[in-house]
Amino acid sequence: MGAITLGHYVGLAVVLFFIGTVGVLGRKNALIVFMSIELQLNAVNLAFAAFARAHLKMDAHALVFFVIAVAAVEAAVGLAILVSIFRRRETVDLDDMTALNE
Amino acid sequence: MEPTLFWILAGLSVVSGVIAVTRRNPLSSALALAIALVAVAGLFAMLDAHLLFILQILVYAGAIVVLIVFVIMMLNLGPEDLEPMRIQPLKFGLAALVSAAACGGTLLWIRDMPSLSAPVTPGFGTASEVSKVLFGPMLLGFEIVGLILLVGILGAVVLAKKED
Repeated sequence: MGAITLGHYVGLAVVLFFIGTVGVLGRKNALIVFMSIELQLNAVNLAFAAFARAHLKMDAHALVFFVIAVAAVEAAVGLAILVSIFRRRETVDLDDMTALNE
Repeated sequence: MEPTLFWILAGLSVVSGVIAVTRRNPLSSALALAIALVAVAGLFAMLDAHLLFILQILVYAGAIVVLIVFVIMMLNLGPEDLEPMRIQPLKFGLAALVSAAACGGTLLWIRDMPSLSAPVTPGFGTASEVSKVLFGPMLLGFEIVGLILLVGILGAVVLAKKED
């Protein structure tokens, strides 16, 4: 095992991002799609932090701060939407939420 | 020491990430996601991003996962609400194929990237250094984040409120 380079971190971020992508595209449970999106955002944050460390610049840390803040808002609003859909239609299955394309 | 720690954390995050997207029960997914997020927090610490490490634990592994678990408990899904594992082979296979190709492509591209052995500048990744960026060149973005948080709070309350 050699020294850990920037490439290791970026590679890990890419792998995590695409695990999230498979979850977003392949799953039908809205909650799990939601968690997959969080995983994707996290992978991007990891890449930001790795590049910041490689270039020794702090700007990317501020961007990660923004991403975390927006992810928190997205979690709150997204889960509120899920709760209100579930209250009305008794489902979290994305295939049953087709009101907009009917 | 450091490579070993990296591989442990990387393996932990990938394995629990895979578990999170493949479980049938969302609660198992949420717990696996929490482990993945904590592992990524550990990687932030290895990258000398001290503030991000703390934020990751507090906001992601703390607030967001707790919120998701809370909603799962509140929805109280029975076994009949969970999707029967009807993975559409075509769609899922296509997604996995594209992902694998993209991963492979990137892994080739990143082979000769700089090492991270350069010593960090003093104060790198601490709250005061991040704040110098946040309140300097990115002040407008910081203000907008405050606005987004306010709108998010109001939106969540309005959306989740019982009608009538």
